[in-house]
Amino acid sequence: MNVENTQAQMRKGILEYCVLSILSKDECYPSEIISQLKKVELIVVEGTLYPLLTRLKNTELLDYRWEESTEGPPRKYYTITEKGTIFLKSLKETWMVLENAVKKLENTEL
Amino acid sequence: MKRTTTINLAGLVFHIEEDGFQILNTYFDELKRIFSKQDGGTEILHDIEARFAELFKERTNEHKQVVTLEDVHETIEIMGSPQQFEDDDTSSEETNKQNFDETNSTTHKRLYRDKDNAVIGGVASGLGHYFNIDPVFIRIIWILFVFVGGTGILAYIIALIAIPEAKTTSEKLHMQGKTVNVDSIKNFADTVGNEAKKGINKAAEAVKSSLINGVGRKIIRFFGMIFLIGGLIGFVATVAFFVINPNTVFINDQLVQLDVNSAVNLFFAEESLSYWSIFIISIIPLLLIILFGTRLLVGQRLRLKTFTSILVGIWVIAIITITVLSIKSGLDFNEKYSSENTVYIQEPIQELGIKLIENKTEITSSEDVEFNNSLIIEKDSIALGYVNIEIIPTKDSVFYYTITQKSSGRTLKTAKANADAIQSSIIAQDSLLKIDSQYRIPKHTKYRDQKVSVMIYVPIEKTIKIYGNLEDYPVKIHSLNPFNKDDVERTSTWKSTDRGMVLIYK
Repeated sequence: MNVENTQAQMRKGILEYCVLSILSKDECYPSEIISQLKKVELIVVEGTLYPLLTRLKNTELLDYRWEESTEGPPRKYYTITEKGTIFLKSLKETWMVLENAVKKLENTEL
Repeated sequence: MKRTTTINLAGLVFHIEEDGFQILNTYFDELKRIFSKQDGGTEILHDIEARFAELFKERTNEHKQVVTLEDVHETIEIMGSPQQFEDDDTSSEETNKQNFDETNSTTHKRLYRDKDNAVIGGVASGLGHYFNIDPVFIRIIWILFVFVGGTGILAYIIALIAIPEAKTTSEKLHMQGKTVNVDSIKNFADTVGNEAKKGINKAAEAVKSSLINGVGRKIIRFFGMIFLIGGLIGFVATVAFFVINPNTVFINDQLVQLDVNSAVNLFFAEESLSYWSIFIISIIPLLLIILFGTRLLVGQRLRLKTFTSILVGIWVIAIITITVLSIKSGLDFNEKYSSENTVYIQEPIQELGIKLIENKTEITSSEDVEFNNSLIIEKDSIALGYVNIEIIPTKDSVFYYTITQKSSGRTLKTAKANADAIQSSIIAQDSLLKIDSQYRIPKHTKYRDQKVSVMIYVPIEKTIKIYGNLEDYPVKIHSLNPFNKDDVERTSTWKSTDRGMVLIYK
């Protein structure tokens, strides 16, 4: 059992939640999502995001549209679907429960 | 100045430095391997490619048109290594995989020559990577071997031919033991899974083949190492044996041990041809062992078929040559010649003494010397042992002896010449015969079964006194009475009678 491994797994679960959360506010293309996640130090390498986005899209939690770019190849703009919003909502509830649980456990004296 | 190449990333054209391209290419190959099996893999790949295009675009402009090696490294660092962004849901597989990667990073090492850190051909630096030691040590060992008859040089040339150079980035990474990326567990699971569908038999085969890739390869490498090291040691020893010529090291004007060169010279007609044929016959199997070991070490990538065939061909030629030469030398034993020389001792003596001389010193007591019947190379001649001595009663009234020198030769003439060239020494001093136990043939004459025997005839009623240790010496005493051999050990006196020689106890 090593720390990095556990950390990576914790981060992975939360990452899904955060990506949906970012996209619930506005539609974004991957670089924007990356820069936001980097700001809060949730991802270290960009590559991690692409398989995740594809998976969320394939499970119909996300959708995307193409937009031409002046700085490079055309970009995929991702939006959250209705199904995604419902999914996010239940994730949010779970997150609250977890957050509460951790806080309570840490503050409780035996 | 650096060469660039042009690539197409997500429909955009980039000029990229060639070394950068190599790395990028390996990177994408790894990505393909990982994502080709996942749902939406092509899409993920395309997204990543597009991101690379974007990042490269940021790093180029009108003044800097080329994507440099540094850019590639930077971008890869931003994107992360392929195994970092595999999107796996199962955590257990993730941990397994990490463990597997750790162990695999060492077994995945391959032997290459490292031209980048090379002094000559990168053999030492490559071996350094392989064994994870500083190449300086390998170079020192190599230099030491150069002093052992130049074997280091030969071995280096072989290594240079046998070990491939690390050319591509992937090969370089393999050489340094960095795992480019492995999803071997996944591969393995997939293979077994697919095979299971086809049938249990095939699945078993897949497990078997995976064993060969894992434990089996380790065992093969281990044996490869043994073959390589054993072959090299044998190689060095053989070359040293052949090349170092002990003829130059004389102790006390004579040489006890017989070196290959002298032995060959003694027997074979065409000395140097025979010598080198024998050398080739001994050295080629060792070369083949070395090559075999190297091949086990580096795997199937070695293409040595032609080289090996050439070696085997040379070996066969050498065998044929030596056979022909042996037959030719054998013919030299065709004819036999013996020359006899009789010497009468005219003085009216009652007793004749016999002393043996070994290595130019008189043997007086039995403890003095152990007779050495081997052949000894001296400075100008070859000493052979022993001179046969026979003691025979005679009805003549005076002592006399006959020296017989025998030899073989191709013709009677050469046989006679060989026999005449033998140098044997008998010194008659009053009533004493000093017989040299060895006889000599001039150096550079061949050994053609040269033999010397001395018959000493003793008149009846007269005695002969034999000094020294004769236990191991081929003295043949013509005696009808059986006698104890131990009695002959010390100085003994024999009387000639008409019934043969009789030992007189004193």
